[in-house]
Amino acid sequence: MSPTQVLSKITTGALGFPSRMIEFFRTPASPIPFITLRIGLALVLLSRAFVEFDVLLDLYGNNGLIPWKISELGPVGWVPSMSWLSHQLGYLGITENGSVYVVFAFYGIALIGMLVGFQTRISSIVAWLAHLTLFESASFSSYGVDSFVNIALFYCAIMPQAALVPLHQLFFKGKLERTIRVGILLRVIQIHMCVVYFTSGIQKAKGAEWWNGEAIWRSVMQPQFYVFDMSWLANFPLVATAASIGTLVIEIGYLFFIWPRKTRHIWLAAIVSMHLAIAIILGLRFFGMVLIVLNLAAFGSDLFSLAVARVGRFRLLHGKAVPDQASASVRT
Amino acid sequence: MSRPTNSNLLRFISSLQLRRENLVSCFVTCHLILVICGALNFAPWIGDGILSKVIVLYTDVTGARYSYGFFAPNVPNQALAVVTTENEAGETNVEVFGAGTREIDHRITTMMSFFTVVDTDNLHAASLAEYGFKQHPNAKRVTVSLRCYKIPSLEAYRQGERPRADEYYKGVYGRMSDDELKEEP
Repeated sequence: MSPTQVLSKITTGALGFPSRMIEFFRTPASPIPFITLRIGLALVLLSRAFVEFDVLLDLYGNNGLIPWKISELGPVGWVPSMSWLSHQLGYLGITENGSVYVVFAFYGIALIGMLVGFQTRISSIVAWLAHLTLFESASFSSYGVDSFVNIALFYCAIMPQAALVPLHQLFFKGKLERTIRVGILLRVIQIHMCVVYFTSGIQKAKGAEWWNGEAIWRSVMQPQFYVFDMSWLANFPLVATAASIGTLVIEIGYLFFIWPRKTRHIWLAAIVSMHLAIAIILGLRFFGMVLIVLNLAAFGSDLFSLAVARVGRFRLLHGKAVPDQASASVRT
Repeated sequence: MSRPTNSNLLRFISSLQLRRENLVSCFVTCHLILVICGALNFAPWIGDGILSKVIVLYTDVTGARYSYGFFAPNVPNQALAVVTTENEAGETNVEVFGAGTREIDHRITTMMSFFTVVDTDNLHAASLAEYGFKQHPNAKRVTVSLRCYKIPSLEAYRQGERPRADEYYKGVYGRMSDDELKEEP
């Protein structure tokens, strides 16, 4: 190719870039990713609520590990703090501890609403606000999982109308319509996930520990993550090095390899495996599960469509009607 | 005669849809810009103006302000707290915070690491002491020992060095008398 032709190709590409970007954002999409996000997130958060119930007052109460006067030093805008709510509920005769249970009850009921698809939009918004209130009252003890839950609940609160379908109607709904608006919102979640992993990977890559395996070693040897005895890693340092460099590759490569169809499933499997490993080996179960749900919602929808199509085909083979030739040949 | 009216109506509806889609596109573009800025710890809008407050509020409640430097660039040492309560009879009860792997232990460890980062060990210890007194109403004295759990390198571990918890702060707390409580502002 001559230099003129190369230049012409680059210019055409550059000039066409804005229209391709618009086309990228305005690709119609099915609401399945948002349904996945809504149901998956509700299940994970309900499990977590069940686990936290016993230590609710320790985590969120004024007489818990951190009193409200300290944990609410940095208020989150207009979101009501636990101390303010408790003061208001006090007029109804509800104690400080009672107000924690009230907020938590609203949170739990809203999550159930999200799961089953009852008043889904309102349930999602209530769950999001309740999480923010609890999050603020326990801000000192909130870690990565709370940040991602906040992000995911926000996306559930603004999810498209088509994703609000009740659970009992989901499998009888028929084909879900693909719309541009759903496509635009889906791109937001996808790009957000790319930003998360790329910046996380780049920041890790700046540390020498992530290149020589020490980061993995120091993580698994900390008391808070000591689920299994991983001291054997000291005798197999290459395993730790491979794990830490593998983490960098998966996170930084996410931005580039999650988009092409040929590499999407591989990268999705890699990132899900990484989060499963975090959940099992480090004991960060809820963190791992929330990130798996976000990834499956963002980039796993074609896997679900495949699964649904296969289930549908199975049902057709063993049901009354056999619609296509392939099914008919198996039947005979 | 009805056809021109129907086509005007269709045009109006499709223009509304287009306007709505354009609004959604505008919103998501702004949101993504804030997400990218948050991830890069870049917040030039922080100030005293109303617009600044609105953006800060939006990024707080939507999570757009978060950065994602977990265990980056290096994995920090973990803090542990040993809280010993002693009653009038001299009986003691020891509770270690940060040593477990349950969900609440992750939260406790996060809380302790926050105090370590902002260098408020006295506040940290006092909070734990207050918790100790609430859990054990008969306690006369609470001792809080804050420790840093240091992990040797892979090579050092092979050479025989083992993790240890070095104490970096110790506070002994007693209950205030009724007179002292009355004097408290």
